[in-house]
Amino acid sequence: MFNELKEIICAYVDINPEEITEDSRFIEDLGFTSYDFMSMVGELEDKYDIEVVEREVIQVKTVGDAVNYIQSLQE
Amino acid sequence: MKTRKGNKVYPLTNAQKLHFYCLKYCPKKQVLNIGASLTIQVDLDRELLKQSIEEAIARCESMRLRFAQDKEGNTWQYVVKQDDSVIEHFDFTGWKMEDAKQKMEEWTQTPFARFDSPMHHIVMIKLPDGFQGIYIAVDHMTMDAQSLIMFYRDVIELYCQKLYPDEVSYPKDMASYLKQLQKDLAYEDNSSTCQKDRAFFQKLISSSEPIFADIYGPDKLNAERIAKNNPALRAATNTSDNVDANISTFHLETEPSERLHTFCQNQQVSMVCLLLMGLRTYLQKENNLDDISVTTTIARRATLTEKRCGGSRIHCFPFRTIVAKEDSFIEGIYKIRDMQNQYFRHANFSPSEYYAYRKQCYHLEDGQTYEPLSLTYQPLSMRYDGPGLDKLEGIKYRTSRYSNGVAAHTLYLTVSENPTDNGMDFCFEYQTGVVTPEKLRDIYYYLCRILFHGIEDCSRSVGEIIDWV
Repeated sequence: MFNELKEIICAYVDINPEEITEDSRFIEDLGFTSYDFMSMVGELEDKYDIEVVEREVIQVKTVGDAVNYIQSLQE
Repeated sequence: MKTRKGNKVYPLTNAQKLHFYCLKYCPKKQVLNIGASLTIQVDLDRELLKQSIEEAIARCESMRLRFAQDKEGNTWQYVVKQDDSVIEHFDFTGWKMEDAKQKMEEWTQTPFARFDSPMHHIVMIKLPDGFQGIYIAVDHMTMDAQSLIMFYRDVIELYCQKLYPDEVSYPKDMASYLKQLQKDLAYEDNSSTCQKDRAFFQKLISSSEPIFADIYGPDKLNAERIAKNNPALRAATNTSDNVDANISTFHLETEPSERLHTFCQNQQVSMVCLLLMGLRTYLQKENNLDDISVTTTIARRATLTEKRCGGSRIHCFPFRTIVAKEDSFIEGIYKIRDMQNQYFRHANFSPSEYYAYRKQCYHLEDGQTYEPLSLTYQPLSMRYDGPGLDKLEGIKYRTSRYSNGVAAHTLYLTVSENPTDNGMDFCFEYQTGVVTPEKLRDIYYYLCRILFHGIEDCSRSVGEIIDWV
């Protein structure tokens, strides 16, 4: 899933996939705006057939957080 | 209609329909015109600049967008392969600056021919003070502020590459407007995502009725209650037959602007959340109401393709928050942020459908609304340090907007970053028959007092801030 997420991230910000780590922060490191992030969340909801909770998703700060959160919703 | 002049035609998108309906019902047909200039304090090579503009148009499908009407009166869009518009030059040397501004306003106030005709007007200009650059007028159904800025940037990059071909690489391609258009139309064709977005907004709209809170206080709503003999009325008519409009801009200097940005960074909230909090607190003060609605715009440019595809992608939605006077400034901002995040997830939904559903839900008459004004935050600046621009380092930039003389709604506030000094511009576009310049000064004054008192200590309550200002 981490690799899939990297590919999705690269559709939003101009970055080499190799530069993305699990510790990469969406806003501070990858340059996402809040709209970019929520738009990507919408795409992830469709792709993984999940539904996020607003107050939970705003706690997602890093790529690793995102992977863990998606996986927790899938279980 | 399947093709027009050999080009495949497509329906209008939800974003374009917003403007289309505005145009349809507005008596003055230049209402969708956007006029802006970018000039710099340097002698430009006019021939190279002309080539750069022509090349930028060739690279930008939405600058080659045309509209067509079929026999049933439906409007369609198509992209021509070649744009043959003549790029003129106008030298304002010897003119007064205010006369040059008035001339560019006249250009902005000239309606475009709607069908099978270019939807832009570009002029290379030299201003009386020697600044040189480009004036552009576009139709809002083809471009919005972000795509216009990206177009200006493309022209700059192409110009620098032509000027310094051995040092500056050719700029990246723009993304295809038509490919993005097809994606948008697929969503709008009642996709499962569209259905989810519809369900979200219908639930939100029907949860409870908002209330109109005017910039001038409760008088307008009270007058409507008397006129309709309905003391429980919550919506008011906020349109005017007189659509004449003007623009007033207030500039916030570098240092205070930086304080706003630093606050947003430290609190991890967006600038638009902070601005919304300031604006809604002002309306709360004027109306003594915790329940405040304003219209917000969402640029809808998240992916790299969306950022570079041109076109007009803005969606506007009513944005309602209830913030009690006992809540702290930062709690109010968090309420806004949480609501905004929800809007972002469902932002592709049709604004026209939103308004139609709300009208039906609350039996509104034509012209009745709950929102006294609209707020847009434009973070993208025409100034940036892209390829080749180090050659222009230190050069003074100037950007200007020109009024098209018409506004379909009472008041729009656009807050943008000013490239000249990294300050911020608060640009009010207003119907002159309804709003006065004095009121705008009032709004700007109190907005700033609220914002700076709030960010100074964001644990202060909203009530405390209202009493202090």
